Amino acid sequence: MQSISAETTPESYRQYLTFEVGGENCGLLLSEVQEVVEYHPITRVPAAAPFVLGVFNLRGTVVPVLDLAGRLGLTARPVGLRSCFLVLREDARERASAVALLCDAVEQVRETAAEDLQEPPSLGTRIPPRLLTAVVNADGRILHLLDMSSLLQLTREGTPRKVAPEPPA
Amino acid sequence: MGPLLADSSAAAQYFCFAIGENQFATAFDHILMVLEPRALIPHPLRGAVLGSVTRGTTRVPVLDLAPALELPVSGAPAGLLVLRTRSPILEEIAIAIDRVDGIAENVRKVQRLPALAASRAACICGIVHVTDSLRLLLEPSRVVPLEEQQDLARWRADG
Repeated sequence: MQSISAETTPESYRQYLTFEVGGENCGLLLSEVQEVVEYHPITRVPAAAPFVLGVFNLRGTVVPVLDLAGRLGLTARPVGLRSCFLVLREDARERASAVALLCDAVEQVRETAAEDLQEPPSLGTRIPPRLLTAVVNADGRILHLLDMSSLLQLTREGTPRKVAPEPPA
Repeated sequence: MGPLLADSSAAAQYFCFAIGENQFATAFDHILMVLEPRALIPHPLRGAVLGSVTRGTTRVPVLDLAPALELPVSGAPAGLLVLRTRSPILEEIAIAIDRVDGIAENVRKVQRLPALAASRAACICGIVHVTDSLRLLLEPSRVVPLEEQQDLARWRADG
């Protein structure tokens, strides 16, 4: 695997929030995460976009929850005591509203040097490389750093809102 | 976050019910009556029309929302909810439901679903904050697409 040049990651060190999903070790830039919220029941939305599990109430705000495992092509694990929502920052990636990702467990905040980031391998990982920005060798395990733009793109494209005509007055 | 809805948010009370595992609410002034399943006169026209119920001299079509909501077709319903619509073509419809959850009076907010979580089902037009949970707002006027309302009205009139 080849190191990603410093041009793509200008800071020498970045902080990532690492977590487990579908048996894989994943990470997101800490600056993209607003908060981690304990799992609580979701209101399902029938006929919603692919990978949208439903919505939940975060202090009066309705937040969509994405099935991160499904979006990554992994098998979702049953909800457990360590399951939680990663609420992404509203202004990250030009999103108009908050979005939460369901993950199996949050691990730690990890500081990673730019030279440790490696290009996602085209083979050998269960997560499609197009959904990753980089991978890191983290204590003998592969840490998959997720590309939020790619992750949310297909979900957004899969939201063909069928607008019914207004009922006659 | 979507804006507060103008039409249904004005309602003081919401009727709460469930279809499958999905929790719904609709403005209480849409509710005409709740009937037992035995009131259904089966007369399947298409997949979504289960038959009709009689309300006074009016014949009201009964619909299964499962196809519109892309849910597996459920078994026998637990109740039939007769709803008033805002359509002059089809003023009343009934839907099959699986559970009545009661009336919510302490509704704090009604708003549109976030764009990312929008439903393709036109009848789901928002979200209702009921105490500590969220319920999908059902708009009765959108349950039957406008182009199908005429067909159903004709079927109802034909007896």
